[in-house]
Amino acid sequence: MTGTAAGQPRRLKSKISSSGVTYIEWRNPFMVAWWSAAFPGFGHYLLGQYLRATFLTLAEVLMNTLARVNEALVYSCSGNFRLAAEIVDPRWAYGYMLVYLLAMWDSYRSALQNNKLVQLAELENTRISPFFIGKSEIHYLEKKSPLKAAIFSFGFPGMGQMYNHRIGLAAYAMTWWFIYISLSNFYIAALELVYGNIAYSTQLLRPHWLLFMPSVIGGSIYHAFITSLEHNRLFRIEQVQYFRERYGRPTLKLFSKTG
Amino acid sequence: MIGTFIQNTELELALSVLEHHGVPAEHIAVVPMHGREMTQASVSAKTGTVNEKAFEIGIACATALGVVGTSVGFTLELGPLMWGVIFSFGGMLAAFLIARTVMGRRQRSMIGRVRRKRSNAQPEITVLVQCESERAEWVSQMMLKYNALSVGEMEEA
Repeated sequence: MTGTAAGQPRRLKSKISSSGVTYIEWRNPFMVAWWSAAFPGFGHYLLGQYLRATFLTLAEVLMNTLARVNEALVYSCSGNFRLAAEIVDPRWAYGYMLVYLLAMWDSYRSALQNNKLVQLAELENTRISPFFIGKSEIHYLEKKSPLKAAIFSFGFPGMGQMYNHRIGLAAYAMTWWFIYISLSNFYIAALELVYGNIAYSTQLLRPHWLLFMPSVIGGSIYHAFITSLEHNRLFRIEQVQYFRERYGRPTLKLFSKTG
Repeated sequence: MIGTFIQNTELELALSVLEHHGVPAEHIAVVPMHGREMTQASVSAKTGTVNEKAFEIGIACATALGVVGTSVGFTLELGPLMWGVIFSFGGMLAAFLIARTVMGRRQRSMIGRVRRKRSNAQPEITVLVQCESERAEWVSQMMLKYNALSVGEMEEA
């Protein structure tokens, strides 16, 4: 949407396309910064900036792996500071740190600007489109259950995004979850845990890949939960817009003027 | 006829069916029950129930503690998986309960601005339909069929 000529919308509140519903919504800047800290890129996902968020998540996995940050984190948490210092690769660690901090900063800064634009978009109140039908996808606004979305993502990160019609992000998150599960030996170790072989289970686990998982599952649950809350809000706004158009000029006679 | 609804797709179905069967759009009035706090966008952005906000904070804390628990667990007896899960759920529960208590108390102390706890059954839309008395029963049935919360009749004066 580039045109801002008279009559054309200047700031859209949301757009529905083959990728799902993309929208601008009020964000707590600290929450956005926090999710960037949990996993660089997650803060940008919350702002609807899907491409740069995906780029940042790729950078995080790549540079964390090369710099061996997760292993260092495990050593640090268990008091093994000498080992932690030894394992980190300085060729990658500084770059990792800079990207990590700047991603946090950028998401926080964007959230502040985002919140101003939300107010402008809401005051402009352009018509929200509730329905999309294309060659290979159908998307629509509907009343959703935030709890169901959270449970979907808890079961398998990405499924909550599927529930919310964000198919690109859903496929991306599910692919990575498969990779984390297999490279960390998560399921095999969990199985050994059930059999009671605790020490063997711990031995099987690979800390580097395991440590990505809490952030990913947490971020996925959070994203699914608030996205469905906000879809509900978009649904309500759109429906009121429609009712105002269609039933805005009733000729009802509620009270007779006699007497 | 007067019906109260919550906002969902069934409500649109109800109105479309009424129109399809010959009730003119001018004889239908739809009133969003959002008060006058927002004139443009009808639902305020920053409001959410206390439970919704507490859940968000809970998930954020669960994630942070999940990473810590997993890391620490490598040297503890039960192993990283168990400690990761224990830390996550513990953190989630603690943060949720603390946030709910704090926000609940703050909300209650805001005299005059207390928002009622939003339950699903609270009406969000009131629909008024003017029709002949012979059709009143049919209109009422249609409203109830499409999930009206309550339906009432107002006789012509």
